[in-house]
Amino acid sequence: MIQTFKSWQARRQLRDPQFEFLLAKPAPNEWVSIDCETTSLNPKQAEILSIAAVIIRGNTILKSSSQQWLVKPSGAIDPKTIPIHGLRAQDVAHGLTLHDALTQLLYFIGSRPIIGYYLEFDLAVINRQLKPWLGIALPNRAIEVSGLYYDKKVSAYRPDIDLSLDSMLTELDIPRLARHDPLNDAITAALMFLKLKGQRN
Amino acid sequence: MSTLFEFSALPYRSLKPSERERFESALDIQYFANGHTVIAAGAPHHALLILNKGLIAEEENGEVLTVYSEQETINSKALLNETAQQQWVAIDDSLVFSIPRELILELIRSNPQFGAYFYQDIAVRMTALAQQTSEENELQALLLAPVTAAYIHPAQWLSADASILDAARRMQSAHCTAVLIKNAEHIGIFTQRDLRDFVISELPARSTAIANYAHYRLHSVADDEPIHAAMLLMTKHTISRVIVRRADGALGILEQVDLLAFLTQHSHLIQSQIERAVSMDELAQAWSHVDKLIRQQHRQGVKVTLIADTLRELHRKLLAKTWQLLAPAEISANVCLLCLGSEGRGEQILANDQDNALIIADGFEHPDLAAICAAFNQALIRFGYPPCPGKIMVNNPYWRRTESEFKILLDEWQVQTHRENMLHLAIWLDAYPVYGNKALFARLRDYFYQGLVENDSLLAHFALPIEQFDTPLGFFSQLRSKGGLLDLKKGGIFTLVHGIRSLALKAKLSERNTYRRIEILKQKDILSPTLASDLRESLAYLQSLQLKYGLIKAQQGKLLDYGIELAQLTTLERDLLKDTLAVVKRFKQSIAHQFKLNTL
Repeated sequence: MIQTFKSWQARRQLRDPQFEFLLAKPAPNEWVSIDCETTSLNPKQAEILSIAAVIIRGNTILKSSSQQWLVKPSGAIDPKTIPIHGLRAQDVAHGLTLHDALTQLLYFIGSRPIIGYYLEFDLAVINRQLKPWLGIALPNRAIEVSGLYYDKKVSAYRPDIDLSLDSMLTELDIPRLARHDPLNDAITAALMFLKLKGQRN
Repeated sequence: MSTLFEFSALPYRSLKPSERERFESALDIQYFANGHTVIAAGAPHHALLILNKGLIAEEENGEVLTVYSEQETINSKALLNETAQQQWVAIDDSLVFSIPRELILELIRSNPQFGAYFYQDIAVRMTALAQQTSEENELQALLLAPVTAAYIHPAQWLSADASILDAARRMQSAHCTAVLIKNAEHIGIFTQRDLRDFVISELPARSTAIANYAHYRLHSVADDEPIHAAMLLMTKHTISRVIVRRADGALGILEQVDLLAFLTQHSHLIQSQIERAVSMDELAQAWSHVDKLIRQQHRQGVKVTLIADTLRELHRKLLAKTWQLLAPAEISANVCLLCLGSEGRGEQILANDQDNALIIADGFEHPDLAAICAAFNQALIRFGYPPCPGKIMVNNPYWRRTESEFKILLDEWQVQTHRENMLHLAIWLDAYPVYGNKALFARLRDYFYQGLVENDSLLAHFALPIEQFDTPLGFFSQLRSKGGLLDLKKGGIFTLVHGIRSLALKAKLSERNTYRRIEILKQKDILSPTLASDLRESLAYLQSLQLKYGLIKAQQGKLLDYGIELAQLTTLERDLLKDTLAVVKRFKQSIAHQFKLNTL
C-alpha cells in the first residue's frame, strides 16, 4: 500500500517521462551492484568521477556486460582523494558530462534493486545530482550488503559486529580484488550479496 | 585494466595479451552455495568454468570421479562435446569464472598451444605442445657467456726453427688446425690456410722454416670476455680462430666451428672432445658438458625422443672411449663390451644407472681382465653413472663370460623361468655392442633367436613382471601417490617398455629401442596404428616428465630416481599424466590378456 502510494507520488513528480521505466516492476532475480569514485568524502560536496555497475542475474555476476563511466567533474578534485581512486584531473578530462553519465546509468540499472557497500554515500551523491533535473531520487530498492551481513551475524550474545570491509570479506571467504577500482568494488559487493543470499536460503 | 583472472597457470599462460583482454572482458562470475548443482548431467555446456574459490566434485551415477580445487578448469573436455554424462556439484561454497564457449573455440583455433589443452586425443595434444616457443633470450644468454664456455683448444707450440713439414705433422697428430711459435719476443700463428698457400708456392716443406710464414699480428680475447667479442673479431678480420688469453698467461685457441657449435648446441663438439681424449681426466672434462647440453636442449623445447637420440650416441662413445683407454688393443680384439637395459635401448638421457656386460672369446684369457673391468665400472661411477643395484656390471663374473658360457646362460633362461632369470633375459634383449669384437655378440644373438621355440609358458613368465607394479591411477581417475610422490618408472615407464619388449620377444624382433619396436610391431599389425601412436606419445610424455624433474633434482644435488612430487606438477601436466596412465592401464590389461597372465 505504501509502496503503491510512493510509486504514484514519484510518477507525479517525475519530470522526464522517458525515465518511467525506473518505476516499472523489477524483473525477478535481478539486481545491480554499483560503486562510485568521487572528488571528496563529503556527500554534500562530492562530485562523481567514475561509476561502475554490474548486473546480477540469479547466481551469476554478468561482468562481461558491466559498464563503467568516467565523468568530467565541474570543480577540482580534492587532492586528498586522488591516492584513493587514482583518478587525476587529466584522467577524467575526456569523461562524459554528469548528465550523460547518469542518463546511461539509469538506462543500465532500470528498476532493479541496487546493491552496494556503504551505498548510502553513493546514493546521496547520485541523488543530489539527479533530483534537480529528474524531479525524483532513485526509486529503486537499495540493498546494503553490510546490512545483510549485520542481520545475519547479530545475536543477543554478539551485539557488536565488525562491519569493516576487510573483516566481512574474511568472514565470508571472498577473494580480495584490487580495491578502489569502481568495477572491482561493485563486483566485491555483488559477491558478498550472492554469498549472503545463498546462505539465507 | 585490472584483471580478475589469474593468467599465470597453464593453459591460460599461453594466451597473448590481446587474447587475455578478450578473455577477461568476456568473463562472468558465478556463485554456487555448498550442495548446489553447477552443471546438471546432460545439460548443455555453454561456458568454460574455472574454479576460483571453493571445491567442486565431478560425479557420474552417484560416484565421485574427480574433485577440483582452486584455479582448476572443471569442464574442459565436456565443453567440446557440449554435453556430458557427468554432473558437477559444489561441495563447498564456490566461486566460478565462466567464459563463453564460442570465445574458447575461437581461441583454440587461433592459439594452438592453448588449444592443445582441450584436445581429447593425447597424441594430437602432444604434437601441439611440441610447438611451444623456445625462450627468446636463449641466444642472447649464449652470446653473453664467457668464451671459456665454448671449447678452447690447447695451444700447440713449435720451436721457432721448426719447418713447415713439422707444422703439418703436428697438425695431423694433434688434430688441430693451427700451431703457435715463439720467435724472439713475438708469438706467431701458422694455420691450415697458411699451409695451403705454402703448398701452392711449391717450395720445399722440409727445409723451409715456419717462422717466415707465420702471422705475428694476433687477434685475441681474454678468457672472461663474452662469446660475442670473439665473434666480432672473427667477422671483422675474416679469420676462423682467435687466441684466448687465460688469466694464468697460458694461451688457447677458439675455433669458429667450435664457436658455432656452442651457439647451435650441437653435440658434435662433445663427441669430438670424447674422441680426442687421451686420459680419464680429459674424458671427464668432455663429459662434464653433457649436463649443460641436456639442459639447453630441454629448455629449447627439443622433444625428449630427439634428446635421447643425441644422448644415445654420446653415451655409447663415452663407454667405448673409457674401455679403449683402459684396455690394450689385444684384449679388445677378443672381447665385446655390451651396454644393456635403458642404455642399450638408447633411452637413457640422465645417467640413472649403469648396466653393462662383457663377452669373452672362447679360449681367451688375460691376467688383467678382471682389474680392467673393475676400473671400467669405477670410471663410469666417476662420470656420474651410479652403480647398478642389481650388479649388472662387467665387474660381476655373472655378466663377464665366455661366448659358450653365455650360450649356457641363454639356454637356462629359457627353461628356468623364475623372476630373476626373466629380468636378466629382459635386460639381455636390450643389449647393444659398444666396443670390441662385435661378431661375438652377433653370434650370441642369432643363437638365442634360432633356439627360441614357440613357448607360451616362457612368454607368460617373461611378461609377468608387468603385473608387479600398480598403475597409480585410481578408480576415479585420480592420481595416486605415496606421500605425494609418484614413481614414474614403476607407475608407467616400466609397464610400457616391458609390455612392448614382451611383444617384441614374441615376434622375435632384434630391435632394441622401444620406439623402433613399436613401429615394427605396428607394421606387422601386432599393434593398431592408434594404439601405437598412443603408446609412443605416452612413453615420450613420461620420459619428458622424468627428464624435467630429474634436471631439477640434479640441480638441487639430489640423487636421481624416478619419483616426482605431484604437487610440483602444473594442472596441465597432471591432466596429461592422467591421460597417459589411462593408456598405460589399458595396455597392461591387453598384455595380461594376450599372455594369459591370469593362468599363472
